[in-house]
Amino acid sequence: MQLIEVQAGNCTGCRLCEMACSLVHEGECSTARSRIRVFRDEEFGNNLISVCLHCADPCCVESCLYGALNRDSATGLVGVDTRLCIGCGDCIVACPLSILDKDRATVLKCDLCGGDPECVKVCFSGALVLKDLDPGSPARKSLRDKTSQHLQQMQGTGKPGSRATSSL
Amino acid sequence: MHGWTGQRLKVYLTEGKIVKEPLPDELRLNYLGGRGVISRTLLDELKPGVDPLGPDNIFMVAAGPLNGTAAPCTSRWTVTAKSAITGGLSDGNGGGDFATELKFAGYDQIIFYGRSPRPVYLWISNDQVELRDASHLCGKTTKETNDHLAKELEDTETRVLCIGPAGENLVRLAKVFSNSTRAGGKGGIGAVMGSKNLKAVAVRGTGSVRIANPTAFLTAAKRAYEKLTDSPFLQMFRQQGTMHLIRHHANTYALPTKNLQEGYFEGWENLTWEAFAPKYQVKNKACSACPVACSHYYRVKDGPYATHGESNEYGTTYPFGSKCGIDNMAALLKINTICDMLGLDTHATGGTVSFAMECWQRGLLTAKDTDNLDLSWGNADAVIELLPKIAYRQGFGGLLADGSFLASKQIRGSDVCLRTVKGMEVSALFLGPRQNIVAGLGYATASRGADHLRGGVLLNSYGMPRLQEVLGSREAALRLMKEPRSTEGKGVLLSLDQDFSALMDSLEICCHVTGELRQGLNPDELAELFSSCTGVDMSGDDLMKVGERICNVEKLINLRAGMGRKADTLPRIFFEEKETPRGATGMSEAKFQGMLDDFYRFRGWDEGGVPTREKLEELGLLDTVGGFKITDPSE
Repeated sequence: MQLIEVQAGNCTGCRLCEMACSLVHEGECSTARSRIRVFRDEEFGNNLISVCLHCADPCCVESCLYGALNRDSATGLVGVDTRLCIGCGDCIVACPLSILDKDRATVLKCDLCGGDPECVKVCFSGALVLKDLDPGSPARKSLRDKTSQHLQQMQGTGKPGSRATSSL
Repeated sequence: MHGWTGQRLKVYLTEGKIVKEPLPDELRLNYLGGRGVISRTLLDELKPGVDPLGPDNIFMVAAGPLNGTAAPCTSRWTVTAKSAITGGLSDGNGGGDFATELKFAGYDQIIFYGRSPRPVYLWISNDQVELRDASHLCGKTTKETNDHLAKELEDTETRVLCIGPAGENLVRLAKVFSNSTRAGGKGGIGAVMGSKNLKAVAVRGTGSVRIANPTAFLTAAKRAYEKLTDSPFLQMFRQQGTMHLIRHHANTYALPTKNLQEGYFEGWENLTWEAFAPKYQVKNKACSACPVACSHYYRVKDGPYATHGESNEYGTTYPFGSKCGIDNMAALLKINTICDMLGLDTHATGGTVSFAMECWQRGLLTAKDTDNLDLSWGNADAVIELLPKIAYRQGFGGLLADGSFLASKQIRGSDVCLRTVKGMEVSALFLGPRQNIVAGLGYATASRGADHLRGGVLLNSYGMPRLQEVLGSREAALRLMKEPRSTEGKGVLLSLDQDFSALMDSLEICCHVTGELRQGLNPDELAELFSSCTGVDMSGDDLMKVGERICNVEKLINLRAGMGRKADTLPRIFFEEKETPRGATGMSEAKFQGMLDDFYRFRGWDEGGVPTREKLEELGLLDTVGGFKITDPSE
């Protein structure tokens, strides 16, 4: 099936993919509401790209207690039913490649824009390419594991600041 | 209105008070954002005659309406203050993604007043804003400050705007840095930030930038990407970045060499992208929302100059390369990294070091004066030793820390070595045989002192559509550029060029992707992006008018600081017309003064360079006159 191949080595860190994704899905530009995320490495450019890989054995689906996540047997895509999702974030713990929208208490999942993803169209560095791929291939699994590990390490050290202020 | 967040922060450092208020519509509509908005704020709020490094100076940072959107190359942020070098306007913009994050946090502009009693940094996380103790960050390099704040705030996505040790020590060659390596703020803004005891601004935002017409905006943005990626110039640019200029300038006898004494450097081939890429380039790097990605990460693996960093450009290669006579690429990369870490401006620092080297060449400085440093042309090791001395104001470095203009007052007879306009080092200008002399006019009249980004230099195509309109035909417009040494029409060319530059800096779009001759975006295309993003209907001509308004506001700031016609000039060396084997260089002063008259006339300024009443009325600026009397201070 046609999926996004991620070649993070080519990524220049421009994050146009995030801008285009949030623009088509939300009608506004926001990296926090983009289904695809780029985490820049300022020192050597070893950027990290995080986007749902639509795995053949999606651990996010397994982790959801509310049946909000499902793998569509016809399209092969993993999707979220926002009516059922409560934004608990269990799926993000199981696999951190999707985005939790805390404000609206729901998880954001790449829907491949119905087969013609905008992020791929605005990627000029060759980091995102639409290709015929087997979602269950070992390469795909290893990409998921590596990215997850990297993300978990990052998120282990970091979450947005939360200290209150009285200045305003 | 969409695009803008509509909010700004006023930070009173002396009292430790922070006020959040709406960004006035008047500012948005007449000045767009970024450079325009903060230049106007500076004109309104800065008291005349204040000490640039005293508590009454105002330091500002701003983003524009297109930052944080899919509009291409809208990554820039602008910082402004009264200049510690020229005493007039000083501003500068840098890339990275600080501005993007600032928009997501919900702010267009931050104004800092006063001086904090102790070192602080401003922490912004969406609605939460506070001043925090920064004593633990004092003395830290730009990179250490970034790393430390990301760790302390437990968020690797925190974006930091900071100064290095140079800014803390009030070195007038200091800039402000985002993402450790993206610098802005020529004219000593790093020192102004340091004088306020403000080490950094750390911002994290999870909000969004609202778009008035998402479909039209995405279509306009995609058309713009297509134009940029199809452009042969930008394809070359994507590969080489600004480093392509070394070859071009060497071939045209326009490479600033040995403090601008010559236009050709023997070792230039060692400074090219071709010499850099195979050995040291790691990969390309883009600023926020940029499909071009002209910058490079680099790494020198071993040897005496082992280092790594980012953003090796023309503006970091020639100032210490040809200008100081150094032809060792690894050494230049090391020097670039050191400047970034210490928070020094490569243009001004290179200009100051090459000034000292010319003093050495002429015997005006000896080992006794320089703490035994041998300042012969090409001595890279001496430069590497000298840079920290400048940043920490140690020994001989302390003499250079205020820039070449102030240093020359303490070195007898050294004014012949000065290459400054309004006290600021001439960055990249050598009037070679093929260099359009309008560049000289651009340097002389740029609002922030000798400058290559304010119009007239490599960009003299900004106003093409309007230039054609004014002159009646495309041929006439192109002639102005094809006949580099003729004075005809150069006033028009520069005016439009400056207007376009002000427009671009106010939309915070990168200067490398605009201008017709570089197959970049023109004012109409910018208008399309702007209108679909903000919902404010403006044409390319309307936007150019905003550019003109901004240029006039900046002129008023400088007039108030006492800079009239006499300040709009060039170092004497440019007025020496010389025949070289490659053709004539320089230009006569008469030619220059003729062009200046032409420029003032087209601008609607009088002979002293003062905007006429009619011009101010046309631009809606009459209200600014009340505060001070408009006369040419130099008369």
